[in-house]
Amino acid sequence: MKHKQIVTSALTIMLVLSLVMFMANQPSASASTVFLGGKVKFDMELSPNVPLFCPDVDGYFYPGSPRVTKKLEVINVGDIPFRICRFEVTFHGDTYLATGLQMEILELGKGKGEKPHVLYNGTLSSLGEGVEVSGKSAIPQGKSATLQLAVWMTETAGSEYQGLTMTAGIAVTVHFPPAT
Amino acid sequence: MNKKIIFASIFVIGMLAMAMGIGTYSYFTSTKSSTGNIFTSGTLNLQLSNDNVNWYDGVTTTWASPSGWAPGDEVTSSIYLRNTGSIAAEAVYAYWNNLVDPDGLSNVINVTWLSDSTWIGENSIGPFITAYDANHDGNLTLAELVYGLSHWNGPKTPDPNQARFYADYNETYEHPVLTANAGNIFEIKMKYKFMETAGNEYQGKSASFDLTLAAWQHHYVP
Repeated sequence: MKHKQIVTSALTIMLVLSLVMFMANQPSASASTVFLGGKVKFDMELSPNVPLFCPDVDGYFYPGSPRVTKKLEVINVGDIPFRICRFEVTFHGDTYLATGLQMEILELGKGKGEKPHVLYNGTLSSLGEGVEVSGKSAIPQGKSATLQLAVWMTETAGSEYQGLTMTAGIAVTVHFPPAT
Repeated sequence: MNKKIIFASIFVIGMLAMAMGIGTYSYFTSTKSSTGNIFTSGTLNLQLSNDNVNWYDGVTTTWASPSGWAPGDEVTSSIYLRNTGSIAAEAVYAYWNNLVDPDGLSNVINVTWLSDSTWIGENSIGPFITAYDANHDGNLTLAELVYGLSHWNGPKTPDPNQARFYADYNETYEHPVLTANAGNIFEIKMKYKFMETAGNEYQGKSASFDLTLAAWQHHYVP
């Protein structure tokens, strides 16, 4: 009888605490029900699935060169909403070039007149260590967010940046729950 | 005793539950990458030639007066520039320097002509005389050109004693003076005259100087 009481008490406490912690972390009851409903798919895709930046198309970077601007779609192909939370860029080749290039990443608005949200604005090299960002809004299942990536070389960059070539991988991370 | 066991069990289970709760506080994350992006910076590569045939990269080209150069003789020399880099140059800045002249020969050589591909056939030496003529005698000697400090160019060149070359008459820099990939040849032509008044003390003497040229992707802005 006593053992039964102990087990019952323990299970009750465990259940209550777990539910308290779990619910406290959820943005809304509807999001919570996804977990309670069973196995969910949490996945994203980037489009286009080809390199964005290419000198054959974009030309060369030089001090004061025009911004090279590209768009990248972050598509929610899973079952639950998410939010963009991190960028990290890996470099190969003449990585010093990354210190002379600037990058601005905007999350574009959906509606007409909706202002873009600046997610990052700084040197490309700083993205090498990864940068935590807060996406403009939650991206629901089946929807996407458009990122606008602009790269340019500042007018103050010196001759030491001449003739450098590097390859970069731009990683985008999203997280669930989508609350900031 | 039983109460102790109960409380101990509750404490341990509570801690475990807390740990599980903390575990649920982490995020689910997903990461995807856009790979293979290539960033390439352009180049400027100024090459020089004495004859518009043989080009040199980063080495000195040489102007030489003809043998038997005598008072009253005038020699014309051209130097040719091209840019084999991948981006164009708006301006070229030049200065005369490193005069080696133990016998003062440069004091009896007048620079009488300077033109370039922008001002074809037009002698631009007038402004140079205004800028560099240290003794204000209306002539520009080679010594004055090398040692002179130009206040005429001052606000428009990186260094006050430099000369500047550009591609358009109005100096708007809308067109590059040197296009990329050796797309054009830019000629700087100069004439040097051995003064007729030079005496016998200059027989068999020689002098040398350097003309240093720098191509700039964007023109100098003070």
